[in-house]
Amino acid sequence: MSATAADALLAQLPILLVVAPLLGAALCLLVRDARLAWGLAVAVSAAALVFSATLFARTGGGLVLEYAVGGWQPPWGIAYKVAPVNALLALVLGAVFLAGVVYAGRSFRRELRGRRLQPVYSALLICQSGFFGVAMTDDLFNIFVFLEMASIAGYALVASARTPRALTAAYRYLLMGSTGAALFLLGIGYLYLVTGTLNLSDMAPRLQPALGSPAVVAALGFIGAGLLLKAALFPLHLWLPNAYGYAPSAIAAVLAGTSTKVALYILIRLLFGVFDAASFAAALPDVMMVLAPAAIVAGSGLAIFQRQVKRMMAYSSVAQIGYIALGVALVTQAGLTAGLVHLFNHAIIKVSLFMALGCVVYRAGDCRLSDLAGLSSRMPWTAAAIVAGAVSLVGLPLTSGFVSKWYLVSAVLEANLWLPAFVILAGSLMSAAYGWRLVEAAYFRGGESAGGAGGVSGAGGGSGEGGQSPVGGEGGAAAEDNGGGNGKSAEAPPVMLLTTWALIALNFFVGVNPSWLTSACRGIAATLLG
Amino acid sequence: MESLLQAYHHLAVVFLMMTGFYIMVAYDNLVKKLIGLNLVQVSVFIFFILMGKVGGGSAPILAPGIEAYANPLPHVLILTAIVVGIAATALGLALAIRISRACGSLDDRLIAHLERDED
Repeated sequence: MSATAADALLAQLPILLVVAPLLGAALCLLVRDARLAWGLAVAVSAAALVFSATLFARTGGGLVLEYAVGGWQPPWGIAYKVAPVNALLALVLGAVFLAGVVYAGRSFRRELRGRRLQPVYSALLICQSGFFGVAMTDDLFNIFVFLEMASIAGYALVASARTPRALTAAYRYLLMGSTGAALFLLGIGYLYLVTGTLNLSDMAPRLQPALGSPAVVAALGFIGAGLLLKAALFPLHLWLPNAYGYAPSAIAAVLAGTSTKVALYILIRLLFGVFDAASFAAALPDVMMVLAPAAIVAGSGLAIFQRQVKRMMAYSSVAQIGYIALGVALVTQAGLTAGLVHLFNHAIIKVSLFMALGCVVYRAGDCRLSDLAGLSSRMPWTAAAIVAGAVSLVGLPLTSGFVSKWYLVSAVLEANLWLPAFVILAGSLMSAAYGWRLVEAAYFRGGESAGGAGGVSGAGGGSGEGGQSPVGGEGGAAAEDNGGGNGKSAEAPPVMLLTTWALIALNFFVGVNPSWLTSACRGIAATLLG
Repeated sequence: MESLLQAYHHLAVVFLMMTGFYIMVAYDNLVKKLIGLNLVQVSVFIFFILMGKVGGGSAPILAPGIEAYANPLPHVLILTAIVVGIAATALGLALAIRISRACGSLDDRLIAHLERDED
C-alpha cells in the first residue's frame, strides 16, 4: 500500500471505530448461531483495538486527526478530533472490550445458559460503539448521545443475568444513570445558551469572556453533578456495587474498565478544555478534593466487609475512582498525569480481577468468600490471577498499581498536601486488608477439603469437592465438563484464563516498563493544562 | 423580582424538575420513580425548546419580509434527546415487568428489605 493510501485509511479510523461495532451489533442479531455472533463480535473488537492502537501510536507524534462527519465542516457539522487524550481512552476501551468479548464466549455460555446470546453480544457492541464515539467526538451534544447509547446498552447488559438481584441493580442503575444524564444535558444547554456552539474546540474561546456569569456557573454545577454521578464518585456511587456485583462476570469486567472511566474522561475534557479549571472552575476540583479521599476511605473500608467477592471488587472500584479523581482535583501537571496513568492502570487491573472471579463463578456458580476456599489446589491459575490483581491494587513494586501510586503520592506531596498523602497510604493498607482476605480464602482456608483433594487432583476435583457448591450448583453441564477434564485440575476454560492472564501480563509490563504510558500521559496533561 | 417575572418560563422548568425529583425520592413504587425520571427529562427538554425561541421570530423558513427566525438547532437536539429518553423508559418498563414477576412486588422499600435479609 502506498503512503497516501495508508494516510487516507488513517483519516477514516475515527469514524470506523464507531461504525464498525455498530454494524457488528446489527449483524449479530441476524446471525442464527450464537458462536458465529461471538466470532463476529471478536472480529469487530479486534479490528477496533488495531484501529485505536494505530491512533495512539500516530497521535503520539503530535499529529491531530480531524474528521468532519458527512463532510459538514466544523463548527457547524459534527467533528471528530483525535488528540492524544482521545487516543489514550480509545486504547483503554479497545483493550478492555477485546479481552471482555473474547472472554465472554465461554463465560456467557455458562452464566447465561439456555438463552439466546445474540442480543447480548449485540448490546455489548452497541455499548462499545457508544464509548468509542465519546472518545472520538469533539461535539458536546454528540458526547451526550453516545454516552447514553452506551449507558442504556449497559443497563440492559447488567439485567441480562436475569436474577432478581441483577434486575433491581439494573433498574437502580438506570434511574441514577438517566438522572445523571439529564443533569449533564441541562448543563450542555447552559453552555450552548452562552456560546451558541456545541463544538468543543470552538466553545473554549467563546466561553472565555463569559466565565463567571451565572449561566456558566450553572453549567459547571449541572455538568459536574451529572458526570460525577455517572463516574460513581462517592457519595454518588450507590448504583455501582450491585450493578457490578450481580451482572454477568464478563459484563462486570467490561463495565468496570470502561463506564466510569469514560465519565471521568468527559469531566477531564470539559474541566480543562472548556472551563478554566485553574481559576474559574476551581470550585469543582475543590469539591472533588474533599470527595476523593472520602471515596478512598469509604470504598476500601466497605470492601473489607463484603462476603460476595464481586461486590468487594465493586467497592474497591469506588475507592480507585477516588484515586483518579484525587489526581485530577489537584489541577497540577503531576496530578493530572497521575490521574490519567491510574485511569489506564485501574482499568487493566480491575478487569483482570473481575475476569479471574468470573473463572471462579464458572466452576463454583457463585463467588462468595466461601467459594474461594481451597482455590489454590482446585484452580491454581485462577488463584494466582486473583493474587496478582490484589497485589496490583495494593501497589507493590513491579505492578502497574505501584506506578500509579508513585505518581499520585509524588503529585500530592509536590502540592504540599499531607492529609491526602496519608489517605492514599491508608487506602493501600485497607486494600491489603481485603486483598489478604482473598488470599487467605484461596490459599489457607478449606484445608480439610484441599487435604482430601490434594493427593489426586482429578479425582478430588470430581467427587471430593462435591460437598461444596461447585458441582452441586452446576448440574449436568458442569459434571460433564469436569468429567471431560478428568485427570487435570478443575480449572476454567483456557480461553478465559488466557485473556485474564493477557491483561495481567499487560499490568506487569506497565509495572516494569511504564515510560511509554507515563510520557504519553504527561504530554496529555501538559496539553490540557495549556 | 422583575427578573424572576421575566424568567417565569424558567420557573416552570424548575417546578417540573423538582416535582420529578420529589416523585423519584418520595415514592416507593418503581414505576412511579420512572415517571418522576420522565418529568425530570421533560423539564430539560422544555428548557432547550424555550432556548430556541427568538422574540418576534418566525419559523426558520426563508421567506421574503421575515428578518428574525427562531433557532431550530435546540429543537432538533431535543428530538434526539427524546428518542434517548424513550429508549431508557422502554428499557425501564421492561425491567419493571421482570422485577414484578421475579420479586412479586414493585415496592422499592420491600425489595430493599428482602435484599438486606439475603445479604
